Amino acid sequence: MRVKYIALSAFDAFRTHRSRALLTVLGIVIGVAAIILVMSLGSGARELITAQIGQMGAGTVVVLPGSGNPTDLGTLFLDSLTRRDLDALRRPQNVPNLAEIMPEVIVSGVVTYRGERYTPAAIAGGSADFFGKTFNVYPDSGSIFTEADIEQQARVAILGHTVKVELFGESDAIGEYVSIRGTRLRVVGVYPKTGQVAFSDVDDLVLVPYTTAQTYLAGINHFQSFIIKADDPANVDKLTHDIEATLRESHRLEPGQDADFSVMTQQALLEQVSTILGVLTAFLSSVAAISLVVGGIGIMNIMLVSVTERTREIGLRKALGATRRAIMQQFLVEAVVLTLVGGIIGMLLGGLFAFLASLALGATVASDWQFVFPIEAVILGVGVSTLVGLVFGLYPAAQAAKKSPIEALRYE
Amino acid sequence: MTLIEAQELQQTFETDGMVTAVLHGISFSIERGEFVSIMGPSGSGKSTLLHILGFLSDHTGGTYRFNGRTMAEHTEDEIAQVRNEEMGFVFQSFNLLGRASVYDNVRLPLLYSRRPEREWDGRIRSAVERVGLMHRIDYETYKLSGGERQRVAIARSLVNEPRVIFADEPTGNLDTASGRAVMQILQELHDVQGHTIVLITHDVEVAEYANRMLFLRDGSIERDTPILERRKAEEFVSTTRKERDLI
Repeated sequence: MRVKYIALSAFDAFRTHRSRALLTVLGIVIGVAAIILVMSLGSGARELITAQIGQMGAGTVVVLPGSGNPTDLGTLFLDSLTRRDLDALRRPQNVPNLAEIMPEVIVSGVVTYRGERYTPAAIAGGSADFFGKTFNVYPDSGSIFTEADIEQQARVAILGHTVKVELFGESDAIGEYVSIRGTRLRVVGVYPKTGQVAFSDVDDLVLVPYTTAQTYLAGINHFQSFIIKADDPANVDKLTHDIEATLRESHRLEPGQDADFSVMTQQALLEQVSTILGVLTAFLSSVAAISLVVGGIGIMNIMLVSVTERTREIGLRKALGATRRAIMQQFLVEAVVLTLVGGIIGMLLGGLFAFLASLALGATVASDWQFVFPIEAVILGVGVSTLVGLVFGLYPAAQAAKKSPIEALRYE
Repeated sequence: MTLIEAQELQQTFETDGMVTAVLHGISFSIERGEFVSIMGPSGSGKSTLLHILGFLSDHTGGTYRFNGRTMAEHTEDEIAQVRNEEMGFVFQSFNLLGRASVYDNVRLPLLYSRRPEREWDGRIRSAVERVGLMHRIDYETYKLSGGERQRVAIARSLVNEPRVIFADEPTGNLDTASGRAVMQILQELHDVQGHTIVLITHDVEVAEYANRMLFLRDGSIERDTPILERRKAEEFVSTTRKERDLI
C-alpha cells in the first residue's frame, strides 16, 4: 500500500476519534514538553554561564581553596589561601607570566546610610585597580581606591549603581559615610550602570579593599580566592603550572600529596560547568522520559482497543487483498501519527513554558537570561515520539495483521 | 475455460475435540463467463464453500483449483494478490467504510494492487458508473440507502476487473425493490459485460437470476442444474430504473 494512503487513513482514524486520541497522547505531550523545557532551560543556563565565564577573559585564572572536586562542599570555609601565598605568587621569579593578581574576600551584610538600609548581592573585598584593568569597569563619579588604600586597610568603598540609588537616591554619595557590620566606610566612587560582569552584578556590589574586608568586615586573615591575569592568554598553561608549583611550595605539600587549592582556567571552568549542567539535564530528562513510557503504554492500550473495534475493517481489507505487511504498516503508522501529534503538541507547549520560564528568570535571577530553543530538543522530541509510537504500536499492529479474514468478517 | 474446479472438497472443523464435517467431498467446476448460484438452506455449508472458493480459508480434503492453481501453490502474499486482482467480493452486510466516500470505498482494493496510480481515477469512475452511482460519488457511504451501499460494494468488487465476482447473499439485507436493482446490475455484468459471477443465497427466487444452480444440502451437492426459466431483473426495470433515478 502506498505510503501516502497509509498516512491519509491514519489521519482519518485520528480525526474520527479526536478527543479520545488527544487524551491518549497526553502522556506523550507531557513527556515531550517536560524534556523540551528541561533542555531549553539547561541550554539557557549554559549560555548564561558560558557568557559570564567568557567575560573573565581567556587569560584569567582563578585559584580556589579546596581540591576543586565539585563534591567538596567545604570550599567556602577553607582558609588555605593566605597572605603568604599572595606574596609568593607576586614574586616574578615564581610566576613570571603573572600580570595582575587580586585576592577576593566576599562578605554579606547590610549597608546603611542615615537610616536607609540596603542588602547588596555582594560586598567584595578586592582591588579597584584590578577591576578596572581586567573587566574594564571604572567609577563614573569619584575615583578608585588605590594600592596604598589597600596597604593601609583604608575604610573606603566604591558602590555599584543600584546600591548608590537605593541608599542615596539622586543626591551625591561621594565623600559620604556608609556603615557595614558596624564599620564606617567613606564612599570614594560610584560605578556606572554596568550589569553582569563575570559572575557578579556590578550594579549590586560594594567594593572595598580586600585588606579592609579581611580586618573590619569578615574578621579573617585568609582569602576566598585569587583572580590572576596572565601577561598573554597564550601563556595560561605555563601560568597555571607556575601557580601550582608556587602554592605547593608555599603550602609545603609533599610530592604526590593532594593539593588543598585548585587552579581554574576559563577552559576548565567551562568544562566543569558543562559537565554539571549536562548531568543535571540528563537526569531531569530521564525523569521526564518516564512519562513517555507511561504515555507509550496508553498508546498501546488504545491501539489494542482500536484493533478490536475495527476487526471487521481488518477482515475486509484482508479479503480485498491487503497483506499482513500492509495491515501491520497501517496500524504502525496510526500509532506513530498519534505519538507524533503528541510530540509536536508537547514541543510547542514545552517551548512556550520554557519561554515563560526564561521571562521569569530574566526578571528575577539573571537579567541577561536568554530564551534558548535547542534544535536537538526538536530532533529529540520528534525522534522520541516516533520511536514510542513504533515500539508501543508494534504489538497491536501485529495483533491486527494476525487476524484471519473470515474470522474478522464474521465478527459482529 | 475452467476457472473454478473443486474435486472431492471436504471441510471439517474441530471445536473442543468435537469434529464437525461441513463439506462431504463435493465436486463441480465453473467455466469462465458463467453465472452460477449456490443455493441451500442455512447450515448447508454454502458460506464455508464460498470461503474456500475465495481463498479466504483452506480446506481439509480434496483439491480446489482457481484458474488452474491451488491455494497451497501460492505464498501468503500471492494469495492476497489473487484475492485482490482476480476476485471481487460482495457481502451481505456490504462491509463498507462508513466514514469514507463512495470514491474512497471503491478505491480500497486499488490501494493493495500493483496497478499504477494514474489508472486509479479512471477505474474508480468507470466502476461507479456501471452501478449507476455517479451522482453519489462524493457521498460518505453511511448516508446512502441499503441498495445504494450494496451497489457501492459491487463497484468496489469490479474496480480491479476480477476474473470472478463472489456475491454472498447480496440481497440478504435489502428490501425487495433494492434487491432486484442489485440483481439487475449483476445480471447486466454477466449478460452484457461477460463477468463470471458466483452467487450464494438461501433464497430460491434470488438463485433463479443465475443461469445455473448448485443446490447444496448438508454439505453435499444435491442437484446441479441449468436454470431454464431464468428470472430476468429487467422485467422489473420499469420500477427499479425509476427508483434508481429518483434516489
